[in-house]
Amino acid sequence: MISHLEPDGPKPRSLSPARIALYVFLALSAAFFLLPVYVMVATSLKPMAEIRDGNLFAWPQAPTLAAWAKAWGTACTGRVCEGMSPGMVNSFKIAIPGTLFPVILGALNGYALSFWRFRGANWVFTALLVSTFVPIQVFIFPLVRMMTAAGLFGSLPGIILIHTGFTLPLTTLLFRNFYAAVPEEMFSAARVDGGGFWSIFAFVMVPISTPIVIVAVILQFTGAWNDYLFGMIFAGRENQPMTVLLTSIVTSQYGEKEYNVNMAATLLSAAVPLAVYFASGRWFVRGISDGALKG
Amino acid sequence: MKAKGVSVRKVQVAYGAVQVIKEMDLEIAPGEFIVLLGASGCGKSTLLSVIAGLRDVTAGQIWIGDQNVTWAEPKDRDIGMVFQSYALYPQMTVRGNLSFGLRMAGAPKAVIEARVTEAAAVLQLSHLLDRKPKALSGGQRQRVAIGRALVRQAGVFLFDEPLSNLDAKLRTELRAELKRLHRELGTTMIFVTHDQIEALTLADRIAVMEGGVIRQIGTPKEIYRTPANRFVAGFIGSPGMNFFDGKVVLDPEPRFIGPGFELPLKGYAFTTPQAGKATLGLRPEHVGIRPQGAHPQFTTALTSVEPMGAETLLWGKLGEAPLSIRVDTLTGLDEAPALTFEIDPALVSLFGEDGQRL
Repeated sequence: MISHLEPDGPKPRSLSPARIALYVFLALSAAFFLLPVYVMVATSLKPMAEIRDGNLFAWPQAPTLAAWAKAWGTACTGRVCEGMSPGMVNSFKIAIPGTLFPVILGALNGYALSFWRFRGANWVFTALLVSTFVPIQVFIFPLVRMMTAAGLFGSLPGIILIHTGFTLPLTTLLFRNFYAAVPEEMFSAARVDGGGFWSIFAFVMVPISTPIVIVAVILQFTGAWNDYLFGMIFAGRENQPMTVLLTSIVTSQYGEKEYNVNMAATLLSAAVPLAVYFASGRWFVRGISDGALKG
Repeated sequence: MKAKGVSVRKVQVAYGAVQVIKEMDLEIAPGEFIVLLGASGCGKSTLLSVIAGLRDVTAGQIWIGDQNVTWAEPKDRDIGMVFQSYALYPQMTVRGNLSFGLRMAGAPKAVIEARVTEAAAVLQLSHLLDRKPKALSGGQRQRVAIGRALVRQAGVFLFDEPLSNLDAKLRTELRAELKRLHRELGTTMIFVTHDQIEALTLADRIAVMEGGVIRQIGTPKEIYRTPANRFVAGFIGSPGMNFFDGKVVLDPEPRFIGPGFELPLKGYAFTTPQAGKATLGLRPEHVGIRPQGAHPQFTTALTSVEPMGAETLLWGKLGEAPLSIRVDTLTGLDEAPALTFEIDPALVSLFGEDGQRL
């Protein structure tokens, strides 16, 4: 009997039914999310013949990369048969500036709102907050008209501007809340030391912002990369991102549906955000959970 | 480094309807060490940040040296400032922290190097120059913060409760160090604290503040010995002063009539002799436990004893009112059942009905 043991040293760990139930639940949840991924990978490696009469969950008997090659280079989107490759370049062209501008501007906004409380700062902040709750559909038609009038509709600068505008409130919020946790005294010290608006931002605030910059960059980049709606409406034919190309490939085929090619194309379009998550997941969690200053 | 005087002229600060500082005048001489002392919310930190230029005044002027700096930016006021939370730049090394102000001012590299080396030597930070703040102890961090003010070679140093975050031992050490720095540099120092021991040990003059007003300004000795009003009398001194409500009679001889006792006031230096309702203040340490017969004598039973280490606080009665008596623990009085003591009228304080010293 446990009760006869003299308590001494580390408390013995026992596997209670609640723990077991918890692990079962966790394993099921993981399977729920991983199973579709498995099906996609398996299917993309199968030739069509095997898909036609095989089991959805079976591992390919003769794995081949032919579907991947077709998805990357020769699959047809409408009349053009260049696969996903042009889309990847376009996605980078949209997502990189679409990350840099909102992050840099959001950091500046958050900094100004936290430390340089100008007249009406609260009003601006409230407006920003409210704007994030307005459904984006409301904006689309007026924006199309405005972008056309400005000659930016269907152009790369146009789609970058759209991404920047729509995500600026979010990045501003992120940075404002981060800077709100920075002691006011540090800002005061920098002012006494002779710092101005830009120099305090550049030399005092930016160096301590690494955690929140990482969070903002990940959110922005994956957001811009995964965007479909704006890319389809505002990017124009030359700048179609991978998401738009993917829909074309999946929907515009004649005859037999090439599931393996579709699966490979989907995985291709998801590869970059996946890589970002894997590379930076650790930083992401740290950035979200850490405060501004430690020690 | 030339010390500069600071002059606060009819300054008011208000947040909305709340008057944080009510029309205040304060003259600080060049080279003076002045302490703004008060409980939290008395406006002392606000006054400091107004002098620093971190907050705007609602009315009035701030002069530093012979310049009206009321509208000047903090960096143009020739000040250095040290904060309670150190407020070091966490991503910079100690060297980077110390040199930041000079770099912002665009000082030549050689000057920066020389001043940083000098400040680091004065504050015993030379071996820590390449460390980040998080690798420093609390005391070291605060020394870096002081050093950051030092390298600016400012005319006025402002300290906002710089010792409050340190433990008792470090606080005592750094207090001594600040006093030494002031002696060596001769700069004007304005020091905000709620700790009266810090105030009494450091200051040339103390300004005791309450509710946005300076209640008394004077040397530590003046503040302690002749508090100008009942608030200051109660605020300074720990354990606190004993107060007895009663009245002052001037004829035929000045005397104080309290609850169940009477004290002739022969030897009390009146500022404004006035008969009528009054409060008598007597510090626990000014109860004469070895009566020589020169002063009025009283006897009390001792009801309780509070040992405080080197000293002991005894509780007895003066007339019908409770009286605390502070004695050296070695006297052995803590064992005694009763005590005969005398009161030297020159050591008491009398306050009129309005709270002002009589």
